[in-house]
Amino acid sequence: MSVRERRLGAFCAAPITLFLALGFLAPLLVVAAFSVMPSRVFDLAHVPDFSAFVEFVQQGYWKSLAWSIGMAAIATLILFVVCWPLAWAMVHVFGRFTQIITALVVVTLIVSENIRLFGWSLTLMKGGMIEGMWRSWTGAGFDGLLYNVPVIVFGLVYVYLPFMLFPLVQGIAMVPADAPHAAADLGATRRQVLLEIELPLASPGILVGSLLSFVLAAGAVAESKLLGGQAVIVISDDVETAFTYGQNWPLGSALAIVLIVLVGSLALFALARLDLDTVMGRAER
Amino acid sequence: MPVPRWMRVLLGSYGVVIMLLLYLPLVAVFFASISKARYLSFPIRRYSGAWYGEALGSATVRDLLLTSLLVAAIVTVVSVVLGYFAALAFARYRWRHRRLFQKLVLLPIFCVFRRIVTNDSDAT
Amino acid sequence: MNAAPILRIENLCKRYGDFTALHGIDLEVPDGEFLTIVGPSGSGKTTLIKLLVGMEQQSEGAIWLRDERLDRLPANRRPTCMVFQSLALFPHRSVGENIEFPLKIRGEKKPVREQRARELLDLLRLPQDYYKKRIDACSGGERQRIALARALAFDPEILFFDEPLSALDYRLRKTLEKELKALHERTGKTFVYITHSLEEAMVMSDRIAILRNGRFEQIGPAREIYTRPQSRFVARFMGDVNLFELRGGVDGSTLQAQGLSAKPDALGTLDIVADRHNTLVVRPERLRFLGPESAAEFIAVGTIAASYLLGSRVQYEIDAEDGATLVVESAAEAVELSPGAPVRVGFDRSDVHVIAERAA
Repeated sequence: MSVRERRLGAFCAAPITLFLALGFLAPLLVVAAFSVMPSRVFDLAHVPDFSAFVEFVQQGYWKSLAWSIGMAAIATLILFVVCWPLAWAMVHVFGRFTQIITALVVVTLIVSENIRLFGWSLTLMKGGMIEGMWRSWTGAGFDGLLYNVPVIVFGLVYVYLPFMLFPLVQGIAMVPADAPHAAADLGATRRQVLLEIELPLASPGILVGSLLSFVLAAGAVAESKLLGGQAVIVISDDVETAFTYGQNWPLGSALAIVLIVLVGSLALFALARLDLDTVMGRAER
Repeated sequence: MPVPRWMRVLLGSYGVVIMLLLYLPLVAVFFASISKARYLSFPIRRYSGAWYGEALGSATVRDLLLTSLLVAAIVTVVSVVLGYFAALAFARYRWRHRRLFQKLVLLPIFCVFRRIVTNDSDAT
Repeated sequence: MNAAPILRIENLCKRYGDFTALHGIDLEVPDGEFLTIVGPSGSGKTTLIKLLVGMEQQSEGAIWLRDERLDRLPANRRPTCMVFQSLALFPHRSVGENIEFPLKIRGEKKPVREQRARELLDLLRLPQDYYKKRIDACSGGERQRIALARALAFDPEILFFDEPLSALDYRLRKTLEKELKALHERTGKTFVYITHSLEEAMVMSDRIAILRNGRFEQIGPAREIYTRPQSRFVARFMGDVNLFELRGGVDGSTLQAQGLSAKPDALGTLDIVADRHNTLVVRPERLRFLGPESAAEFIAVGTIAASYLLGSRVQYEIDAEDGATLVVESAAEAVELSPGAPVRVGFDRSDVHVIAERAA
């Protein structure tokens, strides 16, 4: 570790550190400051109190948080089960087609999340692509598949699929090619190879994918609005409402802080155990 | 253990199904764009390309599109520059706070609440 | 020792579309033998080992383990074990856990597993305190031994090796070659070893099988292949060699060997087969330099082209009169010749082995 390297390293890190300090840390601190302000004020020149947090508990906002976290957890689990076979195939089976699939998935991200969810709305609603066509073929209709909790979870799974898929592909690609063959040769069944070798060795990818999907899904709001018709209210919805119609910045801030602290601790815990060097396959010198 | 043929076919079909599902809503939106009716319902009774004409002819739409492209271009350049230096800092140089830096820089990715963190920029 | 072979390969063929990797090969391996299958890249040896361990299915033919059809068993149920070229150790498990893995997946309890793992650590001469060590903290040679220990853990009938030493440096390879041979003697198991390196094969094996373009050219003990190769390919493959191809008719007196002048009856004394393409094989160490008065049954004349020091021996390349290159090896102190020096070399009938191949 030469002096020149140390200086260069610090120098290169400076731009993004500054950017994040101003663009990420500063707003976060402002929000945190507002969360301990008395109700319905619009500046920080007041004596701090925890009334907003009390409101969080007493007024039932904790239910929104529970819904957000719960649906995010289920969506993440579903995403893992759905994406694993595809990711495995992309690494071991598809060969050249893996690039095509990657490109196709990335291209869908160009279209804004709202429009894609709206497309599902068009597809699943009464009179939509599914129900309308079904009715015209069979004469019998049904109420459309929207405005419930399962469709919100479906929306979360749909939107955050790339965020689980790509880290999983990375993780699976990190498994040494011979290890599963050796395990089988030593007598392991397909299930044992998966549980003892493939899953543990792909765990950095699994961790990153799960964390990303969970965190993003917990903060999501479009799905519950567009697909769920607000069948349940999620925490981000409450935050938005507090800042706009509710005219209650401290409450909105407090709700946001609760979510950030919860999810942020999870992220910190996971990142502390994850070592990017290992993920990239380098030993620390 | 090589992958048996039936499993390859199964996985291939699985991939195709997921890709179709991924693009299905875009198909629905496409149909909405060519349906004559103002509010979409299936089956589509009359088709029309008029909406495209309106969109492409509208000055407002053009402005919005240009703004989007401009913003995207600027953001891309800035991100690449910031990101490149940050990546250098982690990948190439060994310096004292390197590991801490890595974890801290990754953290915001996991804490991007699009409407929350940036919501009260007017308050700053 | 058991009379029946432990491994029998019958007419094994493997085709990939138009390309045939293996052309109906046959092989019998007696119990407890160390057999090495040697061949250049593309010879089919990787295909063969994949068929043996179950990573591929053959197009035709059968593989028998004693009297059971081995090829009908899936890879994880074959009572055989392979040591991979990359070793394929599990990086997320400790040394002990790696060695115990075959036992763990068979449901053995912890105390039994640990005892067996520790026994194997001793057998492979690894320190006992390596039991909890991480794999990435072990050296290349140590990892080889861990891979061997793991392969032996569930007591397989046959051990297969896929070029495990090719990535190692010279010293380590030499050490491990000898250790593998010693291990073979200690365990008494059947070892089937695949390599492209003849040196490895000669040091360790009981028998060598030379594979070329999907067919066995010759199978036999190292000594026999070395002194009595059955084709020019095998002769060249075994090392530097001098080949003299015979031209001419059946009648011994008109036979010519390129570049050689022979005493009148000398050619007739050799085991030349009629209607075949005959080649005389003379090893470099069997050619000797002739002084002005010395004689030999076969003589060639030329000048020194180059010399190479091989430790205790020196190898000379000689440009012979007819344009061929001869190779002579002698002890370093015996003679000192510099490039350009004219020389006479000779050998007798006892130094010659005749290869008779179908005219091709």
